[in-house]
Amino acid sequence: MIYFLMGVGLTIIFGMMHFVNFAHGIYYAIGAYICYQFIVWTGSFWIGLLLTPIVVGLLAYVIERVLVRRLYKMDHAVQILITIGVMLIIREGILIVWGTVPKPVSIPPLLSGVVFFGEFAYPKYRLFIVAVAAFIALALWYLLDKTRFGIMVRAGSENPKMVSLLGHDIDRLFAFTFVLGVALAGVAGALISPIRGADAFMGVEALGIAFVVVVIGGMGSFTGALIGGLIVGLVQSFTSGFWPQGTNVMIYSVMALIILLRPNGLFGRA
Amino acid sequence: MLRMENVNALYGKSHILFDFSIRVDEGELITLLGRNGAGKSTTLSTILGLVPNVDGVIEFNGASLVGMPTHQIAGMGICLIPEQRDIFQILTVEENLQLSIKKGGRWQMSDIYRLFPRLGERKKNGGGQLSGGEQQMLAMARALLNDPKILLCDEPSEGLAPVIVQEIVSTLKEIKDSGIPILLVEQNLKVCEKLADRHYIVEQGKVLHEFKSEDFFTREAIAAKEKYLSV
Amino acid sequence: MTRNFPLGFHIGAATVFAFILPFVVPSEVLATEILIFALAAIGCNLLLGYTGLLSFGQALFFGAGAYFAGLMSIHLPFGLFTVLLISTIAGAAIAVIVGFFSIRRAGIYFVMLTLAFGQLGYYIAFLAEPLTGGEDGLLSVVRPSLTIPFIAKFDFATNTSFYYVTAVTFVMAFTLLQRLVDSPLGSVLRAIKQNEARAEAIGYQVRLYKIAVFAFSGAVTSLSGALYALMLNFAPLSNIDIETSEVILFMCVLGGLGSLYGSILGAVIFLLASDFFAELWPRWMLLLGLMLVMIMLYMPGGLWKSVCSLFARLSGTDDTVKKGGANG
Repeated sequence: MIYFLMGVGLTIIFGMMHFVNFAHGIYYAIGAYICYQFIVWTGSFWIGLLLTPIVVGLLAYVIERVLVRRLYKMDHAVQILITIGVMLIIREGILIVWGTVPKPVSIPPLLSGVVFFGEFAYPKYRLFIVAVAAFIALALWYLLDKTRFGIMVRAGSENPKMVSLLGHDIDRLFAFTFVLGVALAGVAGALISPIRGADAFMGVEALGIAFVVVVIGGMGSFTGALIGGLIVGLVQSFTSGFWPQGTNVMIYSVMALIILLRPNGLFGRA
Repeated sequence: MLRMENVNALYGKSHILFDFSIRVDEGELITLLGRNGAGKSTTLSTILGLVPNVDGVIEFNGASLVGMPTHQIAGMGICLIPEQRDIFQILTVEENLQLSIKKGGRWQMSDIYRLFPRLGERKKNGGGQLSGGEQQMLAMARALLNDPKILLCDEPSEGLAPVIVQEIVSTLKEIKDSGIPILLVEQNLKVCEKLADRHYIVEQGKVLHEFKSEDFFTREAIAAKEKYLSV
Repeated sequence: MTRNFPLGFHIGAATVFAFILPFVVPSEVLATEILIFALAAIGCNLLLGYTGLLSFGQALFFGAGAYFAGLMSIHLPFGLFTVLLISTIAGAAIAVIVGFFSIRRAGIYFVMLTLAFGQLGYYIAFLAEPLTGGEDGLLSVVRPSLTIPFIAKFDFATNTSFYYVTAVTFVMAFTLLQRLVDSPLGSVLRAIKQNEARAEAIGYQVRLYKIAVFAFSGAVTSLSGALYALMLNFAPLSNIDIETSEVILFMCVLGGLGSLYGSILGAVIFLLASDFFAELWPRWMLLLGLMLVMIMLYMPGGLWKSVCSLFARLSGTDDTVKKGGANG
């Protein structure tokens, strides 16, 4: 489900602005660090979880205003290289601020321990992640499918010029969408921090897998991100049953296969 | 009401409008005539702020539009129906309409479904499933919901069957009768003759002639039409 | 600046560069490294700078070259020339396979396919521990010797001697590839970069050209990987990871797309900077990120083109600016 949160942010941003955000993984990492910092200041994981997306969103807003908005019309290769630059800047920034040793985050007492389903023990905190991600998925679906804002986003992904001809401020819409997508990565980072801690390099693998999720589902498709996340999760747990070291090999093979068989992913449009 | 004076427009390095001057007065229906590539559609884009490099005067009710972002120009009630109609394919008919509703506008959803009953029948259909005629209706309906103070309409009859063109013409007439001025780009001369108060003939980015509708059949006008419109 | 010069000029320029380099940089090992990564950056430039293909799988070729050379040197009695030649050919073969599949898709999907192949290569190398040493890397790689029958036998145990092996290989590979990009094939590649549909319409088999450029890129990148393993006496797993792909990409972009000299400059600056900052300020990658953003935004021709136009302004000849411009 973490992959879904990462993937859906990527896919919203790509679907709307055709912007390839290779810095997406670093927002995930910084989400974990900011959550850690709030816990240090306030002692409460909950405050961290709530405030992290806001702080990450603000950061995203600044970056969008200063840099990203100039890139929407550029070639994907240029976008990729520039966002890698952004990734490096933030990553080194993290290392300067928080040092090179990863920071541990502890599971809030309320959620430590396991729940039994018959014979299976399942950690409470992981169930919590699934629940939060499911809630966010539902809220996003409502936002994108049922509200006027959602109509605007979908319309903007097809024809931004026409949206502005109807009197809507497309620049603001783009900025908001970017902030939303990046904030989702921030939430994902905050959610994962009690399991993995905060580590400046945690974004690399997450970004790779998020891209796999999105590409499997079809770049720009919300349903695709959901199904892609599910497929990646399934492939992972299936492979780890008999070939634990080979999960990543399987994931990337599945992705390559799907790109070759279905050029636009499972739910993508041309 | 809407006035362009000595407007020069450039797309990158190519100069597309030269000292271009037209005006649309209260309640008028004006046509821009000319061959393909004469600069008609560009004129409309220029008014809406879609052409990056513009020099000269463009005014709407006294307010300058030059340099203003597109959504603000549209927000003033200058409403463009583009040549491609630009219906959102991935939205339903109803969502297409919802996107352009303005609170307190003169037309509301119920008026639209009365005016275009076909759209009411198909409101759950995707925009991509509509026929050309239905798309044009939807484009016009969308424009009306946007509470226009002036309508800029780019070749509404293009590619449509004669029966449907009839319908479009009568809708345009209704809109005009309700007091909203229209700037119409059209290749179909019959449509223009039926509707317009004045005509501008445009060639290579320049306004060459202006005729009132009653002068449109003088010898001079006929000669101009033959020369520049290849009729 | 490069296109109108005869081949002899390029041979001369590369030779002079390779001759001077060890005397101006802090160590011979660093000089060797610069030449090696210059070749890798050139391989990346062939794809991105000349043909417009952004590949995230360059480390696959680099790492493969390192493993091939390492394994051959340990297990087989081949001489230096054979080892390098086979590594190069093997790299080209892998690149043809990767290229064959990747170019079926365009844009972001193409990038993702190259990334997927790169990642697959990484995990395979990681898992094939008996062969590659897995996480520990392939240890105790020995530098094969070069035997000229009946005349002499050279081994290259010292850093100095190995530098000259690298330098000779570098000059040969560079000249060959410079010739390639100056040839009609190079023009076709540039045409594909500018407008693929038009190139196709004129009648070029764009797919074949793309596979061919993959082959050349894979060959030279694999060759550089092979040299690197021999230099280190070691083929670490990190040779084949995504960060190596990124580093190669940085050098290529930093120096300038669409000019082989640019790639050399990129490798020089990147490696000198990382050597200089390594102890001074470990967070120097921050500057690198900043530079990457600035170059992509304001200097799409990279540093090389800026150097060219600066030089032209100083000497006051407009002519050079034009040639430099056409080159970028």
